[in-house]
Amino acid sequence: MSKAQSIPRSLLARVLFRSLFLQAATNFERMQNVGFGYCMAPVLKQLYTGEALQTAMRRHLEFYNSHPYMSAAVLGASVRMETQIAAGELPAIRVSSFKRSMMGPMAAIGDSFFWSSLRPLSAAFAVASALSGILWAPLALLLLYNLCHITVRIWGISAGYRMGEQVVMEIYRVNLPRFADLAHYVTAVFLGAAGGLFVAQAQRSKVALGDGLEPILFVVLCLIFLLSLRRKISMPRLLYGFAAGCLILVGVLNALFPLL
Amino acid sequence: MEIVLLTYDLALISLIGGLLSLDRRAVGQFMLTQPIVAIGLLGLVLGDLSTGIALGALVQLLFMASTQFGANVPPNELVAALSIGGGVLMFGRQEGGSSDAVLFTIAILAGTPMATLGRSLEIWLERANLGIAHRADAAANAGQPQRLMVLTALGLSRTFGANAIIVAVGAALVFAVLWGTRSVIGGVIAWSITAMTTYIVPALGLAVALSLIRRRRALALAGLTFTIITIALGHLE
Repeated sequence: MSKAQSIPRSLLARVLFRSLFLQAATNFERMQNVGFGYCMAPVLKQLYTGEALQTAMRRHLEFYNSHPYMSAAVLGASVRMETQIAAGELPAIRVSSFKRSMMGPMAAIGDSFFWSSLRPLSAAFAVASALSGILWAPLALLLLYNLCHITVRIWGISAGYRMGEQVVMEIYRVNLPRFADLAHYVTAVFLGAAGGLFVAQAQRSKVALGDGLEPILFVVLCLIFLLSLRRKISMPRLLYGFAAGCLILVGVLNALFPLL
Repeated sequence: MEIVLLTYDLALISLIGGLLSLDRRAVGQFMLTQPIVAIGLLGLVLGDLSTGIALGALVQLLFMASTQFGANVPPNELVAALSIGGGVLMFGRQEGGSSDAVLFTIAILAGTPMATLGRSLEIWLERANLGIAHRADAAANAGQPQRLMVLTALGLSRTFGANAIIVAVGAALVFAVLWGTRSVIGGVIAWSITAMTTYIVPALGLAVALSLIRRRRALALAGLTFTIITIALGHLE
């Protein structure tokens, strides 16, 4: 048994860069497998030749489906494990079972923190900023979101490589989902602010109702839509339904009480 | 109608659509495909940033729930956003002014179905990528890891090309609807549509965004903030 090879930083940086393309060829059969193989390719070429290289490549073209950002940690750990496999310190099957066991939990953490919390928070902040007249609102979204995103990727690759299989303990220690709760509250504040700004726009518009009726109408509409969405009525159905209803209602009212 | 300008704008929108579509899933996912960013970018490129941002904010809220969890393929918010934004901005360049509230709602009504079409396209692309996965297997059996780079590039180029085409079609469609209805819409219809843009579309967008929040106290906080901002802005005026 030889000692596990050390992977140079430049090669890890290549794996990190390639991790951006994890989903480039997503397919229904094995999902992100081509992307995962593509990420691992430079390391496998360094460690193996001949039949061992073919076997190693096949290992990393197995089914893989997880959150793209959190997969950086899986990649880093897989790199570390491959150096150990190449040195005979680990059986080859360990990296396959490690990937299989990490897919689900990493997807759950990434979905809950990034897709369900950070993305809506950044978007709500950008919308509220845009309504306040700040034209660089989209930049704020990108900055806020990608600061976290890129940090997680860089940290994932380096922690995964440093700790190998033990990276899972470190990920649970960081406990990203605990920030998800806080993100929901902050998102709610920005959405409430956006609502207030929409009402202010309505009060200045050609269709202002006067007598402070705009906020009431807005809240009533919001509640109707929210309850409908919770009953699984889709956004397009509500949009077209209320558009048609509005046209009919205004047409009928104008026919009865001509004002327009 | 200036056909040369229209063709140029459509080509630009198509190119931007193809490039941004890569970010949606294939490359990086830096959130460039969020409607407020995508339409804002279109607005910047086509010389009407404020319209792009204002329209982008509305579309962002409407499609806030379009999230890709696991293997689920949601409606494609980018295709819808660029169709809507592209149509409005092209119309503005032809007519010399595009921030009318009436245009926003007509464009949203015309462009929203493009999200479903975009979703079908994505499903088709995932099926087509199965061929790439099998070729990757062949590369592994031949011990040629460098072929994975070519296969990845093939996947990217398919995504780019298909989305560039569908975005161009969508933007042209929305523009055609705006162009066809511009002289027809007046009086009570224009008032109704302005009312939709002012009340219905923003309320619906906010409801979509609020539906993502599952904590009751957070919803109460949204209501409290709404009340404070409404009163504060009312007093300021």
